[in-house]
Amino acid sequence: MSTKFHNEGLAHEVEYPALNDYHGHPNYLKVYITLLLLFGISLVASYLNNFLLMVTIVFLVSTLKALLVINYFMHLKWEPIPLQIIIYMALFALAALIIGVYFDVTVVPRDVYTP
Amino acid sequence: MNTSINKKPTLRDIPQARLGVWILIAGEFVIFGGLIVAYLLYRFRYPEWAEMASHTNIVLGATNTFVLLTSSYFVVKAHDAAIKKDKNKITLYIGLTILSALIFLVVKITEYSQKIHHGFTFSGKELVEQGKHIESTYWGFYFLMTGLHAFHVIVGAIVLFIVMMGARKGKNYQRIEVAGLYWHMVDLIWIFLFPLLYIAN
Amino acid sequence: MTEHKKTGFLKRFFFSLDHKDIGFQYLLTAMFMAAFGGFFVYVFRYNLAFGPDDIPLYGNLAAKEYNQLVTNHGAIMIFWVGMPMVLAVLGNFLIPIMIGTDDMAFPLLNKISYWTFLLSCIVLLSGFLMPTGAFGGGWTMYPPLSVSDFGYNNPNTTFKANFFTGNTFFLMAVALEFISMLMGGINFIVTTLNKRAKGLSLMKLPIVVWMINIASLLFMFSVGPLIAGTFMLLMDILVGTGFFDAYRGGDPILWQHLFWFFGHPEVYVLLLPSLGVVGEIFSTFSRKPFFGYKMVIFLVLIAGILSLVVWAHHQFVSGIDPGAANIFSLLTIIISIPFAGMVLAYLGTLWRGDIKFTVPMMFALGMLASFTFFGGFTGLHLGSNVFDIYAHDTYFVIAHFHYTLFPSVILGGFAAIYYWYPKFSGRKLNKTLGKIHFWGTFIFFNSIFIPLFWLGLQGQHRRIFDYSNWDKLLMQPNHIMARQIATVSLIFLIITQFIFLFNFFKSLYKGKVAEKNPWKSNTLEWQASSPPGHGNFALYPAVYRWPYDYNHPDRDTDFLPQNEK
Repeated sequence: MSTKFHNEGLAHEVEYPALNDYHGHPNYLKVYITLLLLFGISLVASYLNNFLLMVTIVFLVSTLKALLVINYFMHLKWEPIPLQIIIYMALFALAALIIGVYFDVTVVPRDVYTP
Repeated sequence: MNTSINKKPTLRDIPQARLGVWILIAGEFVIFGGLIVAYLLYRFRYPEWAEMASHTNIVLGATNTFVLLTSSYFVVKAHDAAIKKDKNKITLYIGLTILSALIFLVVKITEYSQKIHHGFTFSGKELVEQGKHIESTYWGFYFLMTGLHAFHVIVGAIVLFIVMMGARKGKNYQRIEVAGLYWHMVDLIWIFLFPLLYIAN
Repeated sequence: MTEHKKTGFLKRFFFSLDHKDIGFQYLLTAMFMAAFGGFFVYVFRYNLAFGPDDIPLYGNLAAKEYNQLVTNHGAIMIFWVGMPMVLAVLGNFLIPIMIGTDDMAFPLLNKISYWTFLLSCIVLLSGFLMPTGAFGGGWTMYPPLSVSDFGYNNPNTTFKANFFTGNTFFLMAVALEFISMLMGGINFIVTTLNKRAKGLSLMKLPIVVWMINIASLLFMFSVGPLIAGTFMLLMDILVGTGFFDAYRGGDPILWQHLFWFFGHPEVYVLLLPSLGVVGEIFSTFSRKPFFGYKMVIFLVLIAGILSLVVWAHHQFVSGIDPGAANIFSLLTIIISIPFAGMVLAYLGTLWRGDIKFTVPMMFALGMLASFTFFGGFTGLHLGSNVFDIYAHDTYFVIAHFHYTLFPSVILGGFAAIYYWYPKFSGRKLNKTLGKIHFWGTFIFFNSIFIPLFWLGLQGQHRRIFDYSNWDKLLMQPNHIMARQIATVSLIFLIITQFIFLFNFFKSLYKGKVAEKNPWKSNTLEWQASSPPGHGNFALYPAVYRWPYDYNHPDRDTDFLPQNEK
């Protein structure tokens, strides 16, 4: 096989972890403890009486947690930009979906449907 | 060891398997995202679903969140060990991850049996008979979302097990990172399912 | 050249992991399914023109069977002919060889994707054997029609009784097909991003590779919610949940949103690879550099992003929010701008070119012309909700829809087959038969659908089995005449395809042997031998230039392959 190449080996044939161990190694324990703290905040927030405040806090915290996991545990931060764009495009698609559907499914007079 | 740590790789430097799993993860996000969008839209529309959400067991849900977060940590530690080709640590950390998966599933089964015992079933027929026809669909979403997620947990655990056996024989260390990515995705989805189904009531 | 062993039929067509063999398997399966789709349309068009009794090759047609045939015709032609033809066949065959590598990134995943696809075909067709008959609720599967007999109105049916129905099998087949194409799409994207030949940067990729990848990405981003929705609808049928049951808080409109959120990008998934093929062919046979290469890629990316936010124009008559309908209408009209730019760029490629009217070029010109003038322009009208509300349930929409998808799937697909046939089989197709095939296909295709435009504007409603109750309105002699013209043209269109089949299979064994680069084209696949052996290239090519250096001023030859310095 190797005689076929006149360039020096395609990237995918390089043995692990010689070339691709380029991403950073954040302190995983720190990230983990931050995640637990955030988790604690969302648990405490769930006892708040103000519904709107509670939902805002809980979902902000979830988003933060997700960003920590995706960027540090999954090393997305160190991946090439096109790949990051592809991943975040998924969120764009979902945002488009929820905005487009909101007017038809959520904002409807209820007595139209319920018998 | 390559000196170019922290330098952004090009698309061609990434191992194929990792790139493939990333694309798969984007696809899975949209699938679960579709379910979450549908659930959110209905949830905004029906305030009476809040009462149903209060029947979920927040203690068990929180336990599961903790278990999954911890297992995510174990997986990155296994990835670290894989780079050093340390077979014992790989076995330890992936073993702990699989154990977490089992705990998660046991808790899930407990939760399901409680729910079904109280008459909150997937089809929601019991609630319809009580005249709560709007509320019955909440449990459809609950079981479909958590069930699909649990299915991913099972698949992830099996994949991790296969990968661990391979690593113990001293081959395919790179698979640990890939399986780990998949496992993190399972965790990520749970991060959103937990507040949606358990907290916001 | 690697030594290429002759392998047995089963080994080549069932277990081979080679990307070219898998592409060929997809092609054969798509042709097989197209035969079903074509037969179904023949039966129900015959009924519309000449009545339901004594249809040749079929017998008498009942109204229920009419619904089943229409439903399955739509689903088969889009999911089991269009998707494999423009995405799987082109992607599998072209991507590895055009980017100068030996195979897909994940050959086994590729094979599993094909097997899943084959399974989905079998599941779909076995729906016809179910006791309730095949699914007949329209290829869009709108609830409550698709569930009402089982889940919603009939609480006493069992899981088993609900499982063995056409509805369940149809939904399962669709879900399996999506999963198969998702696996294929992951493979295409990873292969393109990761396995390119040395020197082949993203901005030197052939336009068709770009298009297939953007189409795969679009498919991936749009299909997720529908896969979720398919699970929900399946559970409604099987278990009796109420996700789309209005009585239980579900919303049938939500399904329509989930479906069309996928359904609209799906049109571009089918269109883009075919536009890519047309771009390659235009550049090759005009002997001119591709006009506005970067602009086209940029426009496609914009069109792809916009296509995720226009879906509700399929639902203007479903009772959606009128304010939102205006916005979607506006976005729909905006999306025509990138496509107009692309068509202009394509015309720029042809402008003052040394055009050679080979068979693939004729198909490519036919594709662009019919897509732009009939599919695209009527799309602008229908995109406006003011007009759509009047035209939506008429044959105008049917004609518009077929003018977009028939050129992209069938004409574009034939253009690709005629263009790459020498590479893929090592032999040439018969030119005269090819030209007869083109003129037959093109003329009869137009004479089917132009009458339908007229009938639609006359108010002929879709989804009607028998028009005899609309005596004054739709049974006038000229209406009957128009329907009969369409049906007779359809029969001739189908007969014309036998010329192609004869040409295709005869040339596989008896055609003239093709040289390495019969069209004198620049892209990398023409540097491999015809047909390429296992592993494609004897020596992996390194790339020094973009793929469209025709008539380069420094050269005597009018073409300059990508791998020449």
